[in-house]
Amino acid sequence: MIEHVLPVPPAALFIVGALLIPLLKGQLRKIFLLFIPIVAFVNLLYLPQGTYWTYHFVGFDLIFGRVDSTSLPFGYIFVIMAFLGALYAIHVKESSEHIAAFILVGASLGAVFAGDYLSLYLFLAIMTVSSAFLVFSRRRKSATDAGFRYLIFHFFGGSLLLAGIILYYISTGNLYFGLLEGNELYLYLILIGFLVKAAVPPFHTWLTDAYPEGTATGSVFLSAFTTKTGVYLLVRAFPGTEILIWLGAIMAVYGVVYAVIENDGRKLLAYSIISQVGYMVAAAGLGTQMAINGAIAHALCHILYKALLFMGPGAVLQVTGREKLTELGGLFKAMPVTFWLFMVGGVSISGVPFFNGFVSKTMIIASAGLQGEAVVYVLLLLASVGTFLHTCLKLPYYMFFATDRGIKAEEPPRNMLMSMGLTAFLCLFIGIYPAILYNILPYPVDFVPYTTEKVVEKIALLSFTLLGFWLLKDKIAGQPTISLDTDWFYRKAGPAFMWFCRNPASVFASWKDLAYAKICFAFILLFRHNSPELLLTAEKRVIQSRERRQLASRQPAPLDSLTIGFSIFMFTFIVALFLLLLVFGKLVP
Amino acid sequence: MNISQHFPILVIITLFTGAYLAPLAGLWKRKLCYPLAVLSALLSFLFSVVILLSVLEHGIIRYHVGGWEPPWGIELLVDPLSAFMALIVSFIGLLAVVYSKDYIAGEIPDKKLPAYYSLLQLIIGGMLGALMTGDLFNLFVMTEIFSISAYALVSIAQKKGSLIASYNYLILASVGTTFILFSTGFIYMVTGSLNMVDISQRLSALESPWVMYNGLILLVIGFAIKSALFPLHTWLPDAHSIAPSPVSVLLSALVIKVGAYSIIRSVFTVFGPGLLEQSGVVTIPVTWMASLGILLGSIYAITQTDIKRMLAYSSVAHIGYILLGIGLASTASMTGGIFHILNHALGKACLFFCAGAVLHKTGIRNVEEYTGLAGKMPITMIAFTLAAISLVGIPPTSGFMSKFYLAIGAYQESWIFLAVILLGSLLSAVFYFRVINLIYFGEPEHKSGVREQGAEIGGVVHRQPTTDNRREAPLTMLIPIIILALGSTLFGILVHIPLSVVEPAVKLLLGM
Amino acid sequence: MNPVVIRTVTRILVPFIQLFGFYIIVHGPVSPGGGFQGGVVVGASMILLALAYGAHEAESKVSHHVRIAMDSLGSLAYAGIGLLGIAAGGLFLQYNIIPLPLPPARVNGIMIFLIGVAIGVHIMALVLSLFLHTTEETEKDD
Repeated sequence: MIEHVLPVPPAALFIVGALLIPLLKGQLRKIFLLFIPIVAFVNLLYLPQGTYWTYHFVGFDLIFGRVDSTSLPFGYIFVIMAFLGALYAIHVKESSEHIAAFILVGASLGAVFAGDYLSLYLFLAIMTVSSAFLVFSRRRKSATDAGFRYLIFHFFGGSLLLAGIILYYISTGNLYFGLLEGNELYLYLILIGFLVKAAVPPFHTWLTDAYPEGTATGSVFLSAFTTKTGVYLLVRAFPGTEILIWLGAIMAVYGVVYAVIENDGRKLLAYSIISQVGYMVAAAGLGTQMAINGAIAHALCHILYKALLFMGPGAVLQVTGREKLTELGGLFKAMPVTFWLFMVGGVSISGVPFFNGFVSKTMIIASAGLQGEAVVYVLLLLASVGTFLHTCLKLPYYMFFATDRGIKAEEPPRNMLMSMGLTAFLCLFIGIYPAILYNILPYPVDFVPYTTEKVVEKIALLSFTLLGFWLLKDKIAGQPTISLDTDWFYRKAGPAFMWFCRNPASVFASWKDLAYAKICFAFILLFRHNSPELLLTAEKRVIQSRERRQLASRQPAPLDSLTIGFSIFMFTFIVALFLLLLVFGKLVP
Repeated sequence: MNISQHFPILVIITLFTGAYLAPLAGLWKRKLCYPLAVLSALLSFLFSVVILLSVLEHGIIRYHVGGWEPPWGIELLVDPLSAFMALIVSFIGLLAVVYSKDYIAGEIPDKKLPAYYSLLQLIIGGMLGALMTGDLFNLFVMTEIFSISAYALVSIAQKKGSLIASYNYLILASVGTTFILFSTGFIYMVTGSLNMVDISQRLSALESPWVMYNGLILLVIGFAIKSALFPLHTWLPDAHSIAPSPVSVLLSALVIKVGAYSIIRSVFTVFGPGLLEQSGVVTIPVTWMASLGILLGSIYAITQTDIKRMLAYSSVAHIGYILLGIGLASTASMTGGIFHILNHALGKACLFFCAGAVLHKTGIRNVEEYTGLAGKMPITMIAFTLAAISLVGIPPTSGFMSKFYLAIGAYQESWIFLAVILLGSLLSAVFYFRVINLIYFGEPEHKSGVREQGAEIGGVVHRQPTTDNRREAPLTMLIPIIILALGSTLFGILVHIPLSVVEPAVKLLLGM
Repeated sequence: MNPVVIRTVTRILVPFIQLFGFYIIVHGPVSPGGGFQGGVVVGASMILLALAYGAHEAESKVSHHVRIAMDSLGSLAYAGIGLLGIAAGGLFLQYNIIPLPLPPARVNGIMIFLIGVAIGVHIMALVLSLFLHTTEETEKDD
């Protein structure tokens, strides 16, 4: 029976599901929210590899289901994450947030399974809009602004991508999305489009800007999908591209540096995403079978532990309404379960053995070592230390211990704890039993994470970091300031652009009208006495009796007055032009 | 003889008859005007559907009015492009008539209802006439008919500034019609004919191209004023924003498109693509002005606070897309440009209808006051969102597909035009998403303090859906809105339906 | 100036002007002129009346409602004659095939005459309306 219904396109399942959410109320909706991801997961299990759902669409071939060993792992983890996120957010009563989240999941699945550029662009655009709606859901000024910047930034990236797609289409005549090689312009445009999605510096500012502004539950969804879709796209189209190795390595360290000095808990985690995605980008750049495996494995693990990490401060925000580290502290007594579950995420991201970060991160670092990229190897190792420092030590220390500020708190709602518990279990399970992860990777894995050498090396490294933190913990306390990042430019660019629109452009327009009006005024004076009597009477009546009142009560708006003058000026101008043409037409045979 | 053969003339005559029946009905019972107007608009819509199907099946329809053979008599010439446009015009015209019932009751005095419905049918009939005719002078006459109706309709509500807006529109558009008349006379003087097909044959026999260019330039400038091509757009923002909303729809979605159609006709049918290839005397300036219009129209729209003015400036940008596609004159760009006529008509009509519904129910014109309207008028606001997304050009809406074709055609000419199209989309995203953001997530000003506190405590503001203050517009207004929103979304997926008409039209125009 | 002279002259002239106007309309099919020209002449006679006796006089002779009715009926008659062509199996405005028991030339003549009358009725109301509306001192805000 079930074989006849399934498989259906995973994206359709979520997007149609999202549209049904507003129709449901109360308990039924909660069940529905959890039911959709479960159905989707079963659906994926029934989805054999191959290419499905190809449509011939006005001269373009759309492929909605390219299921292979690269896209399938992303599909699994996205669906699992949708379940965990839905569970975490199930208490939220606003349907708009659930709808945006489910559409985001659906579009991400669509993008991952898309086999051509047109449907890929379609899903990326939907992702952009739905993510922005998740940020808007916070309903406060800063969130609105951040969401807006997010939207514009991604539309900008999308425009470059679209330009690349069009160039690609013109030069190749098809829209098939696959490996890209060569030295064409479209290659770079598409690469930049993907780099924006993957938040590679200097295109990363949307991430640290928007993610901390999401709602407690929305950020969990945000953290999982967009950047990992970006990683998938890079793995798919640009494996082995030299520049990605360096971008990734720099990104890993860059994210760590900013995370260490960051004060907002979730912004710190956002920087940490950049750092972790750096590993994946670097691995995609390395391009060996092991590195690609590592990139995908790390993306999968990252989604889990990063979601867990976002759930922690999210729960704190939900309960206390605070998110700055300098305003938090001493919550351990009130929220011990939250703390321990958060710590599972913390140790996972740091790559402590027997947690899932270890089994994937070591794979990437090892493949960098095997390639002989010594500098990259060191940079990635360094970033791993920094990650341990800020996520596993600094963040929980200042949030749950440090100075007790006497904040009233309690454990978050049960569904949040359940979701965190489940995520923590998955982190631990994959860490202890990595074969389940390795089996779904595209290439055969002959990598053994648990060798004595690797475990000892890691533990030694982490122990030293722990020691260092203990000695210096007061020095790296978050400062209640905003650290200066490249987002300064575009935070300023927005207002500057609006200023440009309001001032020079409008002034230009009004100045133009004024100039025309002056010329035309003279023109009217010249011909006033020759005007036919009737026109004068009619004009007098219309303009004087009625419009005088209207004019008196009208706001002076530079843009909309004076157009009569403009029109008459244009008339004379064009007639003059025409006469000139006529004369030249006669002169020049 | 088959009755369907007469549909090209009947589609026009139905509306003109309706237009003259309205004042008569007004003398007897004013309530009759509305059903009569709906009936005649519906009939002409049905006729247009049949015409389109018949054109697709049997090719071009020629109809000799009065049995006089061209070039002496007036010929109606219906090719895929005019049938396509006629369907758009009669459909959106029908919706505008339907929408008028409840909207216009509060807007204009009861005494003027017959005049209003009469003018409404005249403007639609005039546009259909301009689309159907194959005669240059007749085109001028029909252009005058719908333009004069438009001037009157802009000022019919007699609100603040409506006379100034109408007067500005009248002056500038009359300059345009004067040019068209000059050019018609000029062409008649040179060729001795007024029939478009006949003229194009006689023109190709002319020796001096300058004679031809003079006629063409005047004609295109005249129609460029009608279609509000930048920098001849200055009449548009006032007229489109001050007119009653159904009239704004007609002006913004249809009238300027008919201007664009007339440019296509004069450039490709009267003069023919073969003659133009020697020189880009018209197409190059049109292309550049259209590009400027896309950018500056969007920038001006960003600065607006009045929703209808914002939409009006957005129309300046979108007419830029259409004329850019036409000016580039390649297959892909023409397909995109003509397809965009449909998309912009659907999207902008929907947006103006939504703005009208909001104005009707709440009296809000200012964008800043749109905060939280999603709770009050959910259906209208969802429609607004869909239409806005279509106009920004986000897939899977129809606006994306036309911009995609346009972009392909633009890049074949120059990367600058591609950049302009993408940048224009980005700019339009700025002002449309500003409104969408306010609609769904905006906080009313006076409650901001309370809300802010709520946000601080909970992280999420749990706002109960407010069912008590839902105030959707009446059904006659809501149904056109829903139809248009669905249309602008569905045609993004069912692209093959409009393309099956657009593609033969483009092939015919480019002489392939 | 004494309006008596003007009024007397007007009273004498108006019937002749109108007669001339009707003549132009009726004689349209065979000589220069026709509905439009004749209609303008008749309309002008009413304008003369309005100039001499005031707008209200003309208004009372041919009221707003009558003008609207004439205006609409004239146009509708024109369209109706055009549609007769279709009804008779020809093209729009192709009136030579309308089945009347007369030779085609006569049918044409009759139809052109009828069209002339229709246009004439339309135009005479229109010309007077235009004049009366543009000279209205203040717009009635009712």
